[in-house]
Amino acid sequence: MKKFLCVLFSLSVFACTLIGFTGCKEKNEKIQIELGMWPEANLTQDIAMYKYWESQFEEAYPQYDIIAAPYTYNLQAFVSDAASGVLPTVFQTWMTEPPSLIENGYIRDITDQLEQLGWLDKLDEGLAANLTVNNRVYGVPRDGYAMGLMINKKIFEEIGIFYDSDGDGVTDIVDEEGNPLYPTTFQEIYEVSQIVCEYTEAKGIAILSSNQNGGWQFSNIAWNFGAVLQEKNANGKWVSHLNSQACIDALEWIQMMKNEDLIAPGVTLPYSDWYKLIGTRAVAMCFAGSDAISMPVTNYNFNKDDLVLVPMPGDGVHQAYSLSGGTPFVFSKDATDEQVLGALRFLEYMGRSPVVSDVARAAIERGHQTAQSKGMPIVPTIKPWKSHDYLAMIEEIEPQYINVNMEYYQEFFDTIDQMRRVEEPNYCQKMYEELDRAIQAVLENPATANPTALLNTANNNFTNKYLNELNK
Amino acid sequence: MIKGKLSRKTYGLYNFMDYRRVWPKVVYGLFILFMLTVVVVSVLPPISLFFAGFKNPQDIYSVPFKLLPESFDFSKIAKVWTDMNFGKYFVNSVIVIAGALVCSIVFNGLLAYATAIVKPAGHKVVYSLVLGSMMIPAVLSIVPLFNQIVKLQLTNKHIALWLAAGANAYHFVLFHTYFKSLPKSLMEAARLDGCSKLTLFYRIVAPLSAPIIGVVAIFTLNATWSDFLLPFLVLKQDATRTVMVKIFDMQSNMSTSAQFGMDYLLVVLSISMIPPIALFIIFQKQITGSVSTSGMKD
Amino acid sequence: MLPSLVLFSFFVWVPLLSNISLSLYTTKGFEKIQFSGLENYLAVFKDDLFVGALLNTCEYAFWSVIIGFLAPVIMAIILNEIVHFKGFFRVCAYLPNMVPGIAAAILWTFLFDPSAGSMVNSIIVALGKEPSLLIDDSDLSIILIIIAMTWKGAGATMLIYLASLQSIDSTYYEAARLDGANFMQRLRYVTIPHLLPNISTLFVLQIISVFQVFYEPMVMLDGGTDASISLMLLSYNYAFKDSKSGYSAATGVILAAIIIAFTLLYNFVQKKLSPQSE
Repeated sequence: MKKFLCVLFSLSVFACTLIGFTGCKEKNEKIQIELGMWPEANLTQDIAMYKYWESQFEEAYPQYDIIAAPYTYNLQAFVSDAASGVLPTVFQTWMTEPPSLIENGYIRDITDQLEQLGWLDKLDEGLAANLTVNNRVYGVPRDGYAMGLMINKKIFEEIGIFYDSDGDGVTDIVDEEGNPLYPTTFQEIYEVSQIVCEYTEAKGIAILSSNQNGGWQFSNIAWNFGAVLQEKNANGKWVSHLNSQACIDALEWIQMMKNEDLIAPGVTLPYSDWYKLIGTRAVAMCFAGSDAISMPVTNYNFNKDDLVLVPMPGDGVHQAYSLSGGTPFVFSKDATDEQVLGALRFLEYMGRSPVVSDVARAAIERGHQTAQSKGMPIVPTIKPWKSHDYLAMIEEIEPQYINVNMEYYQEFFDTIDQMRRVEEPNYCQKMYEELDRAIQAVLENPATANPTALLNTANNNFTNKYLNELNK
Repeated sequence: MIKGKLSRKTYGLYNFMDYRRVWPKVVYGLFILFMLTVVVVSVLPPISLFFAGFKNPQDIYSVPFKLLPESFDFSKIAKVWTDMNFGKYFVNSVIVIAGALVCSIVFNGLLAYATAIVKPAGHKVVYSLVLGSMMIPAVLSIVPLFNQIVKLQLTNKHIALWLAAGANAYHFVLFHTYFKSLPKSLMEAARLDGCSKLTLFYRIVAPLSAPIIGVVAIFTLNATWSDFLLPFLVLKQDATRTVMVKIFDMQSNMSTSAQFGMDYLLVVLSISMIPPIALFIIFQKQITGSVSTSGMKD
Repeated sequence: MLPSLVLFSFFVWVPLLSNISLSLYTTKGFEKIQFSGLENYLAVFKDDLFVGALLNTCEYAFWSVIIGFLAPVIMAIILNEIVHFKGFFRVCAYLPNMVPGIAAAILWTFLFDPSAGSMVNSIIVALGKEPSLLIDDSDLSIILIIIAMTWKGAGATMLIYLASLQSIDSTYYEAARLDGANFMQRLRYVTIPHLLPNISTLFVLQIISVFQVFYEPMVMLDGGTDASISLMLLSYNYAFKDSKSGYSAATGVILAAIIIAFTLLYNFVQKKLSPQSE
């Protein structure tokens, strides 16, 4: 009797479960497009903007059904998200991620759809580089960034480095003859940092060091010391030079800064630390991407008029570069061709596609207006598409919305086309990971750390674990 | 001379006799001081967190450290609550807890009833298998479990978590020990009166089990509220997430792409601690009592 | 009984067995591809990260014995001596146990923040020392994680000892007193022997649980650093970050083997010792 009841009970439980999740599946004839970049619930102004784009889009393309599916890319959760099939059709990730996503098959090839829309040859090659494997493209850049040196203008005023050189009542970052007052070499950063630390509570600069961000920044610093991080040798094999003299110089510069306590405290500094440190006045400078300058403003109420972005410093001998990439939109492996096509078409309604139209124009303006009303700084962008009519459209709209003193950004944007350089080609994230370790070791024990030995280890690990695999 | 409680202390390393001397009194003072330190260490961290939630994000790590915020603006809690849409996650947590309560009591209770009282063939094997599984951390097999859940399409379904609560070895053991402790004579008498095993359960065992059901309920409530790993892997859609999963999500997004300040995380954290602490204040006796008798934590 | 067994199989037993079988296959994502024998095991043993994690886990166990295991014993013995505000002390000491695990980990991340303005650093500065890197210091991270875990767990363990202490018949102390035993001798010959069975059981439970340390380093150090990663977290990272579920399963099996070996050793020692003590 009891057993019978138990069986009955268990069956009913499972029956209920089954009914529970078959019942909610209803057929929808429209092609559903889940938008992972849909803003989170607390961003009401952005949601209103997306809703507007959605209604316009669904009117023009009745065959599609746009579904809000806010998705924040998160390292700890991503693999299980992908395995349980909950990835939205299209979502944003970080500029550093696509290579491993492609390798593990979590995101899909969209080359044919781009071809079909005629967008393929309009992509900026530099930004598309780490979205491309074997000439197949796995995403589109939302926008581009290039790294620069961000400065807290207030602190530089306090220590007397920036002043009003032309007498117009506004602080300048260049002197009477137009020579930079800001640091242009690593040596100058060192000297300025000493002054900052002496006269203010802040440290000189923030150096990131964890979750691959350390290697990301370091590779740019190393380039500017003249480093070649990866190259193909005469036998057609890939080799890395993470332990070259230039790299050692770069790491020794960090060591010297740390030894004199000129760097923000901490050993493992994640990405968020740069805007936390700038935003809380804990440092006077940091290296940051040009697309992210609003972060200290939105997260820490930092005054947008106190931000300055100048070109990456060099060592005074070698050519200075500015690491450049793009924040990509990528597409779930489970998305169908139709869905991808729809999602790409929606980009026009967001003003993120190369299409020049009234819709695109209105969308771009709406985006700027929203950013403006949120008090975000608006500066020129690095364009992800290179077609002339698209560039012309942006050039026409953008200047109307710029809400910062362009003097503080002019040098950066004037030089950026000559300075831009894309990330290293192979296992870039893994290389950053190895470099993170070396940087952390220096930050932790600046007095005793041996940069040469640390970089030898990094280079050996990187070669043995990854490059050898590649060269097989 | 000594007065009050110390003069009546008859147990322990020092009793009232010892306290007539000076040295033990000093030691006693030190003991009190030690426990006061323990109290401060226990209570201060959550309180400082609560206070820090009222600070502006740029002041949270300001030097010099201040425990108190500039002002207590309690409307901030409401603002964070609505901004983060926290009601939704709260409701989800309640749903998960409700189902988990039922499953935990019914399934673990029935199994324990079977192994402790009915004793069908193989009950010893079952008992030792369950006990054995206590030794092996369940988290070790999380990958296959996650796989199974995905295959059965239980992702984003709260029922997966309900059922998981039905397979809790600790709660099973609590029930088992309790049923074992019920007087055998009572069962015998009932059986002689012609009770079937089912009526035995309804008439005798179930009514007697109110205290243990209460204890298991309290533990399930607290454990489910705090549970993280399985909900994190199962509840992938934001709309289905529980409070703890959302908090972890917020924390791990802090370091990359936060759309909110650090103060938001702190406020939400403080909110998340309130239900278990309230539970503790209400059921203090039951909780501390069964911890000391069962030797069970969490 | 049957539905309960189905649940136990689904949530506990079957995953355990599939984990063992998964560890013997090459994998893609979460799927088995081909039987590969012990290859996953050999591969993880060659991985520096695994060796590091193994050593870290031992370090966790070491500090957990020093800090996490002793603290509740001392707290219980002292609390048992106290007659004023006993209930208040007991409740406060237990309170941290009610703070949800993730919340406790985030709470301590906040307190242990390396910036000079964090609470713990401000205490260090108030004591006249230089601010510490705290959780960022690779020499300190494990100890600090153990402190955070002890903060949460000690109250509950203390209650267990306390219950045991309260069951000591005061005549034992009387007898000791008559024999002229002083405070330390009473502690040594009456209190400690009485606690011994509890101490040894809880010692084993402590070790077993610290071997499973997982989300503390994950939360407190952004997914874990080389200096703090535990076997459990490594197993998670293999599966859910690197998409190497075979490695993850192998690590899991090794960890389970360590725990089982430890338990068996404990049972063995227990059996050897018990005839003498009776």
